[in-house]
Amino acid sequence: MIGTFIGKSITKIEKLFKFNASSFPGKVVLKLFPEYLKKVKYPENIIMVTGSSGKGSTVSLICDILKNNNQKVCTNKEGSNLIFGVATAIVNSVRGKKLNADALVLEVDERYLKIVTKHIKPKYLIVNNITRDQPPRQGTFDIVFNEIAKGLSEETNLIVNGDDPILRKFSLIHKGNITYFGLDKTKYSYKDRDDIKDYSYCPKCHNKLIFDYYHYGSVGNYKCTKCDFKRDNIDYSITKVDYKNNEITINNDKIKVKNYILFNLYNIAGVYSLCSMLNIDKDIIINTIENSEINKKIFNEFEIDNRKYCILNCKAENNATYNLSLIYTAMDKEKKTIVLGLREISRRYNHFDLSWLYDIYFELLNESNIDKVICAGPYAYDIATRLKYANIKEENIIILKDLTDIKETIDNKTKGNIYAILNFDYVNPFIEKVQVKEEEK
Amino acid sequence: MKITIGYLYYDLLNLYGDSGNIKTLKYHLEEQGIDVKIEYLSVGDKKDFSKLDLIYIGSGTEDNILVAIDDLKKDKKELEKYIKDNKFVLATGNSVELFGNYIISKNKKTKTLGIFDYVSMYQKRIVKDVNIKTDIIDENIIGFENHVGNILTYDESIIKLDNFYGTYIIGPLLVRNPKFCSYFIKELILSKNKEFEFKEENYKLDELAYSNVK
Repeated sequence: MIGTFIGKSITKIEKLFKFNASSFPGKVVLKLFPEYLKKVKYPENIIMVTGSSGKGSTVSLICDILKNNNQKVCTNKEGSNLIFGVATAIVNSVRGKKLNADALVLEVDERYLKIVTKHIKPKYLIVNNITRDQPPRQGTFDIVFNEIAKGLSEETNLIVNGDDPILRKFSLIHKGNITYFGLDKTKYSYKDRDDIKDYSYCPKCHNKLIFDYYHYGSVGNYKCTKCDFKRDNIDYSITKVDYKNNEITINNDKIKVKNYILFNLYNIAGVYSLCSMLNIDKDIIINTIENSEINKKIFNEFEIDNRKYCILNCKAENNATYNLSLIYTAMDKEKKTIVLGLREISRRYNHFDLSWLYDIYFELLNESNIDKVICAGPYAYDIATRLKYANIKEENIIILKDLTDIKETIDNKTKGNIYAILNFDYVNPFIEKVQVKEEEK
Repeated sequence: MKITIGYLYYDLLNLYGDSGNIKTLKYHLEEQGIDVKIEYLSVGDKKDFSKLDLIYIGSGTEDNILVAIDDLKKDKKELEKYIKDNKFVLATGNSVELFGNYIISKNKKTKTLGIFDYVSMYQKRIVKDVNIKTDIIDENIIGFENHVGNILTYDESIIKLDNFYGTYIIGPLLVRNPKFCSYFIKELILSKNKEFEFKEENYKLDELAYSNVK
């Protein structure tokens, strides 16, 4: 196909000039040949992953397992998850008319799924989660749900978190098969917490949902007070989390894990479900998960001057990522200092929306044995004001307008382990500041 | 003094940090030595407005606004009486649509409470920062809007009809506007006791955050 030649040539030229535009070749090909993607012969296993958070980590774990199962995988570059990014990945793997791979694994943006699936029908679709995320762009989580729903067709096997009522809502509209993964009650599940819940009413009959327990937000064990809508039929369930031995049990398989952030556990459960459905050898699945490297952009732990640093990557305008980090932080009962900061609310638009700060349950810090909270960055006062209304004492809040003095402040004014709950744009600047000092000594 | 706040549809209309307003009200009323009670009221609950001094209601998904209208219809008379008695209402985000005559979307016209004479038209989503002068306080009111409805009869971002305050500004309106918050709380207290002696208020961080807005 001539499109393949053009796309590959552009990619080669880009590489030659060290451009890193990972969606431009696909864009050119689709502009010239709008039907290109429909004409490619794909392998049987077309897998897509979408949702508000964790798409990249999930896709990367799936690819590792398939590769360890001696399969050749075609996938898109992390974050290049719109139609042109997908097209670029495919163009570069096509030989003749065929995709030169045993499986196609794609990370797809929530709003672009309906466009991508017009060209390529997935056999499996994992939806990790649908949460509050970038409201100026996405509107509401209901809109995101409806957008994903437009990309579904009967032949797609949907794999979703059955603990989340908004994801189980797919059972009301999806005509194909649905597989649920989940997490049973743990010692950190809770019942009475005055946090924000996305879903308190039944999507089927609009009556109140009652919860036995929550893991976060409105994710947990729910049932409708009137109709039959409830958490049940969990096909792949994490039945036990062994916090002492860093081990989870899922469908009688024990898997070592590296952190207990709930999205990590759910991502593993989702990947385990998919790979079991693909009949991949259990040992390969387990070994790959256990040996997968921690994505240090998302979770990072190190020690400096005998103090533990834990870096938790969050997304502004996405309360779930912050809430899961706060839940994780509260698991550590030792004395600790919290660092909160961000540089920009959004890379996409120049708005000044801070409402999402009030959907984060900072009140949990009161149960987290906190010495000091450092608020850093251009929005430090806004974060500090939020903490004030979470009943954090003002004398325990330190405000820094940027990261210049962060290391000195941590060293001289705070005690305990450091939990840095940062927007992704502050993760590297923070690590550079605290680590550079160490090397200079 | 005791002040009872009715947090209407706390579990349904809580889309954009709306609960921040409740936290702020509680903090500053208690700062004045007032006993604050929050009544959490939602779908199917019996709503006795006569017990309330302030009704707060926040923003929700378009579907949930319809659920709220459906539930609130039966309480229309009581709510109308509450507002006519000049008691306080604060409605942020798209909940302001509940109090007009209709919500008109592409394929549907939904009758709303009809307490005030306005109509909201659903069209393209409006997403914008707000920084406006009002007749309420000297300082500009700041905030953020994110909604699909549009009330054409009001070009102001805040509708003030006696003690009814409605605005499309989402989320923590009172946090982001310390002067307005102080004014609102004083009005609320004075409506209960004209002689009230106010204690010192703490808006230090709020003021610093406010003055940080470009």
